[in-house]
Amino acid sequence: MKWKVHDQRSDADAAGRRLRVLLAALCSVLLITAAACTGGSPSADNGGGNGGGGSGNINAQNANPQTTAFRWGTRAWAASIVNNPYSPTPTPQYNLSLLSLAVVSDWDRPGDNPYYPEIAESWDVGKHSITFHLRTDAKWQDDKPLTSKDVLTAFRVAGIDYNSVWAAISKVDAPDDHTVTVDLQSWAVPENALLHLLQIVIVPDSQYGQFVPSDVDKTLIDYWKTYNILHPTADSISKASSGAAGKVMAENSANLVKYNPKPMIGNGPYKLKSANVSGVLYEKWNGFWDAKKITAPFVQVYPMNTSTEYGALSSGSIELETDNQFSDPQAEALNRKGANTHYVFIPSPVQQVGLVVNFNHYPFNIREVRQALEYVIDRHDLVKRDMGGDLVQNPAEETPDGINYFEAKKYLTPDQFAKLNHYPKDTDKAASLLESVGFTKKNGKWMTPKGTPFAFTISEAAGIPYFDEDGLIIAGYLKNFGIDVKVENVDPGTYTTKQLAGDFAVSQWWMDWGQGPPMADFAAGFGQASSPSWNYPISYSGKGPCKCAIGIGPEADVPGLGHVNIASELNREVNQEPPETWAKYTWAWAQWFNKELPFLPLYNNAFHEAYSTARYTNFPPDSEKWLWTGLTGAAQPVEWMQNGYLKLK
Amino acid sequence: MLGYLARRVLMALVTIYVVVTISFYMVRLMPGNPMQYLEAQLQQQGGVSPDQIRQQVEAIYGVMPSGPLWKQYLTYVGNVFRGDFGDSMLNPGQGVLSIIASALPWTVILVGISLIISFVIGLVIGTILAAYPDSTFSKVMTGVVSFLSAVPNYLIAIVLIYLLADLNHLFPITGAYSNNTEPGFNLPFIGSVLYHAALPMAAYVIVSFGAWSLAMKGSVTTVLGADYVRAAEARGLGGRRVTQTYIGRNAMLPMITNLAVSVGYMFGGSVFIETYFSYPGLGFRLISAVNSRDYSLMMGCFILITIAVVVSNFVVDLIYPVVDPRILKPASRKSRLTAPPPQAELPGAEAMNA
Repeated sequence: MKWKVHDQRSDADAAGRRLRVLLAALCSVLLITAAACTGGSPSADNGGGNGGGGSGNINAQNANPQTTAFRWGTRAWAASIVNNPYSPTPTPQYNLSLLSLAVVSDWDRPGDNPYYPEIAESWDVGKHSITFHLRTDAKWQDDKPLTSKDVLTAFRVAGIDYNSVWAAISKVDAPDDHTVTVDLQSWAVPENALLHLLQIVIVPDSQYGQFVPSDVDKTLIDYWKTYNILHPTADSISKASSGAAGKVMAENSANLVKYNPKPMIGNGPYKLKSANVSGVLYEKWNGFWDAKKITAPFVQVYPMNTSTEYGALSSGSIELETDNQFSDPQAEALNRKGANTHYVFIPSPVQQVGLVVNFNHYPFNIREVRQALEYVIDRHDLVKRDMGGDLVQNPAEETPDGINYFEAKKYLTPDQFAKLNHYPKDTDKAASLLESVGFTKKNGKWMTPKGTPFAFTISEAAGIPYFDEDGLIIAGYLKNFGIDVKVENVDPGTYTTKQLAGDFAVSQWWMDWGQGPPMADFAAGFGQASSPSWNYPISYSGKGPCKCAIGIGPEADVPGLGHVNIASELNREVNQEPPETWAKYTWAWAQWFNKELPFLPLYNNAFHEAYSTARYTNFPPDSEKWLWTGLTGAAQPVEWMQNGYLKLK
Repeated sequence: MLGYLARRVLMALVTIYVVVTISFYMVRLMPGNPMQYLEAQLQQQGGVSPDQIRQQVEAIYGVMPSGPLWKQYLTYVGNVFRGDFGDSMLNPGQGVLSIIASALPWTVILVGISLIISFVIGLVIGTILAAYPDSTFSKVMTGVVSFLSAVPNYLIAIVLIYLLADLNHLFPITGAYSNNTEPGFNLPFIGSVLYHAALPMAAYVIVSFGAWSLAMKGSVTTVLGADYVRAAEARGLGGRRVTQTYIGRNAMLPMITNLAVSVGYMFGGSVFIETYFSYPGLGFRLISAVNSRDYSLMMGCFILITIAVVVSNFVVDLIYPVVDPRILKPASRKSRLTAPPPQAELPGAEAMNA
């Protein structure tokens, strides 16, 4: 039975109801629009800015943040943010407000001054000491002067946070309000200590002094003395943690990371105006010594999903993003002629991607097997096929020497480079290497000397798209060669833990650490103190299996160095060898690496960031110099503006 | 009645306790822990050696919860029933309750309002579909709602972002309100909140009203075929009275039940939508807690969702007899069915055709 309602009264009532609903909806829309127009919108206004575009000394008071803010998209923060650089969830881009003594702009040390001075105007590097001369016009955003007392507090707070620079320190002092002296241990290399000290965030004593216990210098020095950083053992590390000094540090560091200062008193060009789940707004502070050079009256940081950053950038809704890697088609779209965007691709002096083979998984302990794999993997083809290729990860690893290709060019001579094995794709060579150690081929499949099929699994971290592709492409090369390879995706939350525990036969990761000289990078990979680690730790007692990702050593014959304990020797070089010896040690380890292949280098990852010129123009050129200002913890836009870049349209 | 209430309350408490117990052990069975997550994050950032990373993580977390698992469990359960959910592991010093309390209003705004809107739209469209099953509107709309019900909400979210935010800058992409407004009961802030919620709400409503429509259509269609509707029409009752009293009220019963239960699930937020819009609701917090192995925050969210669902079911059980007195007691229901109303009179033919 169909339902038909013929009630004229109800028809009229229904019509009236509909009309009322429509009117209510229309009023709501108008109300929302009116409120929104007065309430503010973060959408881009491509019509440009107002409030003094293009010239210096723009005042925030005269500017409208909706149309003048420099908008920075960053990964959405997980939970509440805290105005504390030592918290696990610090306010995003707090370095717009809290500066360091200087900004590292170039990792090419020694050489031209690789730093932009900030809080420290200059410094003197002696044989066993460093003297910092602070700016006399630096002050805090509560108008109190920034003095050497604040810098000492900042150093000490960093020490409470287990900053290992304190292992090299014997004394810190402040002869006057604008001078800080740091005396170093006799074995310390001053340039290494300088690098770490300059990057410490300078926090106000008025807020952070409470976390500095009395006699803290002695506490920190005692802790690292017990730790014995030149040759730490499991016993020395344990004693350091459980000793009196260790307990003081643990208690104070636990309190430090929970601290949420309100307000955040900075010393930089921007004052924190508001920070919440919707974004962080920084307002230009005219008390900054270089305020005249700061051309952006506001910086607005937005939490964004990585999948929305591309759209936001290409539509001009944000000016900058620094944490996403786009594919080639996206990069091409951003760089196409006429687009108000630019995709910055800088071959990176860090982040060399490698295939990590575990020596505890047979047959990767056999050198010829590792060499054979390197001959089979076509690295040049890999970068072309992975994520579109050229623009993203070129060039491929030219010569497997354990260091990033661009660092290799600086520390190795062309002759040395030419002498190394370049491992070009050569399946015949790979086959002969396998046969030389007893492998055989049956029905197109390789068999190990034990009579078992040569088969393994490549474990990739889920959620890293190009790693996923790498695994599949490499598996294809090896399968065609006759090795049975599977690829598995592993939860990223547990991947590195399992990797360092040696659970994976073959895995993939970024295998240099941006520590500066190549030896430091070698040491970060092969010279760690304790387990789990990438390789045998310094504290390895010689008993039991290595709970580590690689497992080469613990000793080796290194050309030019002789028979050494890998971890101890690298640790010694990093802490005690002066810069003029770095090239020598780099060549020694490069030869060792090139022959032994403790991991299989694949390609050099590139540094990516992208910006839009919809609202701001005059961005700096693509270069390593500007790359490093971001990588070493500074707020790039600040450095850009202080050096005459970035103008509001 | 009191006995019934007491039994229901007891069942609710037992349910909550069981969920707390199962959740406590299940989250700890997950691979990884907060320290490992943070280590992995710091390693991906690069520029820091593994030793420094380990030291930083140890400084942040100190010593992980120690002691036998059963002891940790008893401590945790005791604290929960005293209202202490502990501190977030990823945010040392910040209580789980305060984090949840800061996220809850955003979920209520987004999901709550979206739920009501999609419910109302769904009811209206579902009723029309049932009333005019052979119309063109009904045929087209049935296909549309079926399609939209099947489309993932994150897909709609991406399309809306692209069309209305990226291409045309009509709405913001991210956040809950503009930083330029002062949070409080003022028009600019309220307007900003609604403005930022517009796209996420639209995404939610678009994919959910279809389900309500289809459910309402089914419910109305079922009721239309019922004998009491025919009897009411046969007695000559007006269309409006038949619609409201006989058809509407009975068709609404299952919808109200579903709505009440949906309110309970509302507290879980909409994970995908909140993630894409970086909307700081409970769903966003929950997924972040799961990814980072923040046990405390995860447990807090699970407990909240459990309590909300249990309470909403409880409330449904309480209000259902008010809405539908027939289910009050089986005996009374039987007596009403078997004894015809003594005062009912069959109208004459003229009245039936009025």
